[in-house]
Amino acid sequence: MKIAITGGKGGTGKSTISTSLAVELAAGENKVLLVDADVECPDDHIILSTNRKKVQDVCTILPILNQNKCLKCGDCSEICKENAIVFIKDRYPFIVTGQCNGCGACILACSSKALEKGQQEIGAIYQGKSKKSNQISSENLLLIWGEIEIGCEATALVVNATREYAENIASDYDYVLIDTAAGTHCNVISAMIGVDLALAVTEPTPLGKHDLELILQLLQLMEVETQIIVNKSDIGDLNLIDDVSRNKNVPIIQKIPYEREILKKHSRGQPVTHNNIKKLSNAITAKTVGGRH
Amino acid sequence: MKVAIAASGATLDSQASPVFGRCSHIIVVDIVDGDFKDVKAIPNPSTTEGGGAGIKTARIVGNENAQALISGSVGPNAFEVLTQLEIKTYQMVQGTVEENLTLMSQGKLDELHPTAPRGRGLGVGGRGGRR
Repeated sequence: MKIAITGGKGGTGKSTISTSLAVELAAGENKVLLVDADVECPDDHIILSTNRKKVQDVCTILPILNQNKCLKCGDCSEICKENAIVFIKDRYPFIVTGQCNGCGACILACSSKALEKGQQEIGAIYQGKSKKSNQISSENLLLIWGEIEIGCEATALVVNATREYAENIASDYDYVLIDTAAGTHCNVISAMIGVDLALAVTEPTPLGKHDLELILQLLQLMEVETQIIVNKSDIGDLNLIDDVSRNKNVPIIQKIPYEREILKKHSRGQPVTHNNIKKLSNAITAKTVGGRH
Repeated sequence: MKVAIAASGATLDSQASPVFGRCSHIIVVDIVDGDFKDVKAIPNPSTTEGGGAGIKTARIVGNENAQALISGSVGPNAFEVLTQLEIKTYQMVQGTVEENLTLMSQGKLDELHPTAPRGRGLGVGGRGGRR
């Protein structure tokens, strides 16, 4: 079963709940693959204190100019939507590599074939197993995450590559949990394509409500079954989220209170354990006996 | 010497622009013995670019064969382009285009160094959405 953990707003606890749920499911003798798809700041490996092993580079096309063939026509610069190729009359064009997203349009547009396909490393995929074996069975829980190169903007390619890597090994696992970035943008959508269930993690604040409505709208369009988790449920105004739940007809399946003990574990680098997350885990396993779909 | 300046309007009495990539106009002037000749105001089409506005604006400066640029700031990508084109950049002072050009002709403007880290311009097409 594939479950996306999302929510719209940043800082609601997506990663905390993803890691905790992964730990609970793994403790119940399920094989769990946790995928951190927030490639701009993946932090599940910090929360779970895993080791860090690079398993794949993520590369994209980078045009390389062969000056001997270049006619100085400027077509490559004209077609580049990212403004990554600079052409000044009577000079050779040059490429601002950090701006290039690897679409390859310039290579197609070059009539003299002066641009060749080079490669640019834009990120990598890592895997990690928990180092604290007393807490988490490393047999049962594997973490995969994507990391974008600092300063690089082509994040979608890294998200997609991470998803693809996970898809290739998903059949060995009972549960695949995908921790998405905040927001409702392409990278969140890519992370959630093809999941069986989405858990929208929110908080009882006006912003939490606002962004929850956006993500629920998106999930409705994607036709993904969705349930709401309210984190920090005892601060703020829970009515805000109750209203959304009622209006959108999406159930609130769990509430996690704002507790000192949770913060303590979090800041010690331990996965947060809480009775309500255990209940959540149980609800998921009860629904999908055997796990595998 | 041919000098380009990022401006907030099309005339010499417009304010100099604190931003480069999305400034309203690039004004190009030939400074000859302290006189401003061949004044040309080019509307900047990059103001609505999602990304790479600075690069595109630097191209305009390059196409005008300017030897120097005056601006309030220049992003790292634009700075890379200007460096490749051997165009020196100078830090504007708050005031009009004319005041800045006068200071420039007197050699009283400081050289400018790049600001923000690469790939994190002011892009209006922000891909984050995080709050």
